[in-house]
This record gives sequence, structure tokens and C-alpha cells, in this order.
Amino acid sequence: MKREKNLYGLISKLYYRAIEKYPTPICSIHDREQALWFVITALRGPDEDLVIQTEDGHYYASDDVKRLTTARIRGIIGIEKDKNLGVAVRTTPLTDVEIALRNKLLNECSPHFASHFRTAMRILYELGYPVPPKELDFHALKPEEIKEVKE
Amino acid sequence: MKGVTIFGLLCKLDRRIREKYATDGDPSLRNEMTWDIISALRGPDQYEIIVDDNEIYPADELKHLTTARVRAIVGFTRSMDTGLNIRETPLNNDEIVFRNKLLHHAEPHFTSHFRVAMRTLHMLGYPVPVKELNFHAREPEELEEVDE
Repeated sequence: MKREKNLYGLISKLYYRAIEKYPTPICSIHDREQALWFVITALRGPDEDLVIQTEDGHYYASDDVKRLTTARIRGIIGIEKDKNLGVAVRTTPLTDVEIALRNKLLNECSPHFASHFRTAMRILYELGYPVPPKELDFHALKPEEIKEVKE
Repeated sequence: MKGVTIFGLLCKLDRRIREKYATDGDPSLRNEMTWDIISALRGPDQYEIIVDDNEIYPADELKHLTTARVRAIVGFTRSMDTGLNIRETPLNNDEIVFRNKLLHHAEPHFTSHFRVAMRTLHMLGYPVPVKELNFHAREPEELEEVDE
């Protein structure tokens, strides 16, 4: 098994990417630490065990939030659907419809969770992970409104 | 503790797991243990813990008695200057009882991750006071040491 498939290996890879992106003495260790921190703390799914009602009156379970957020972060950093770890992982990019739904759900779920998720996605993009720029649009509520965000 | 980094602490965690569970080739158990700990490093998502109509606490109180303890036990210190909520000293009996009360009314997802992390840290030989593994006591005098 490749080292990258090991969870610790994936965290190491993340840190080494942060070292490349934020080299000393130009950047501080703090920048790298922050990058690492915000990604690893976004690996746990949302705590809320509530049904979420969006403004258009539809109901969603918190697992729907996880499937479109946490599972994506796990997929982007390289966690594989592993029966032993048994966590939700989404390795394929979200469709426009899914991004719009994700944004609606992010507006309704815990702001603490949403904030960790958005920050982690932006950091992963900065570090060169395969984050589709469309998935960085956290505002569009309709598929046709989605824009590529490159920051 | 100058020079301690988050990555350094995660390296230490990995070393401890490898020492304790030296599985050949199959990293699944080690992955699970790493997962148990890192998934408990984020604080609770909720903003308040509602015990009843007249008893509502900010979730920061729960965080200070749970997540902040996990972080400190892993090795985070205030001197690392991360700005994180870290509780380096063990909880006293009253605090453990209060923590249990808050945990009882918190989101089960958060509670479950916290308990698993504490048990895993104890198994790995981290300095988890055995009393803090008692997640059930509701009165200080009910606190018996748990070893699991």
C-alpha cells in the first residue's frame, strides 16, 4: 500500500504542500500551521443531527450536508472509500445542481461548521489540491449563477 | 515548549500509534486511531447547550471542558500561541460532573467523537486522568476511577 493511502501519510503530504506554499523566511511557521489546522479540523462532519429546511421548503438530513461538504474535503485530500475507516468520501466533483444545493444547506446549518468547511476548501485550493474553482463559489443558490472563484 | 508545532504533535501521535499497534502492512487500525483523535480536535458546532428552559450554557463552556482537554492531552500548549482554547490542567471532580451534564445535552455526534478520542488517547498512553474517562457520573461523589 502506498504511503499516501495512510491517513498520517495524507496529513504529511498536506503539511509538505504547505511548506512549499509558505516557505520560510518569506512566510511564517504560523501560516503552515494554520493551513494544516483548518484542513484537519474540517475532516469531521457536522454535529447537527437535525433535519434542515431550506428557504424553498425542502427538507434535508444532516447527512446530505456531510455528503456535499466534509465528504468532498476527505476526497480532495486523498482519503479513499475505505471500509475500515468507514467514513463518507466523495472523490468526484460536485455538479452545478449539487453546488447550489450545498450552498443552500450551508446557509442553514451551523455557522461554525460552515466556516470551517469554507476555509478548508480555500486552503486546499491554495495548496494546489484538485478543488474545482466552481466549488469555491459558496454564494450561488441556482446552478446558472455559479461562477469559478480563483482565490 | 518552544518549537512545538501541530505537525510535530501529529508525528508524535503517529509514532505512539505505531509503537502500540505495529501491524504489518495493514494500516487500517492505525488509520482508525489517527482518525479518532484528529476528528475530535474541532470544537462543538452548536452555540449553546440547552439543559432545560432555565438552564442554557454557551457551548464554549463545553468546549473548554472537552475539546480543549483533548488538545492539551495531545500536546497543544498555550505557549504555542495558536489562539486555540486549550485546557492544560486536569478537570476537578465538579468540572467532570458539569462536563458530563453538558455532554448529555450536547449533539450526540460531538459527544461520541469526544469520548472515543479520550479513550483512544488513554489507550495510547497519553496523560488522560482516569477520572476523566467517567462520562456518566452526575455527582462528584459518584466519580469512580474508570480504567478502559
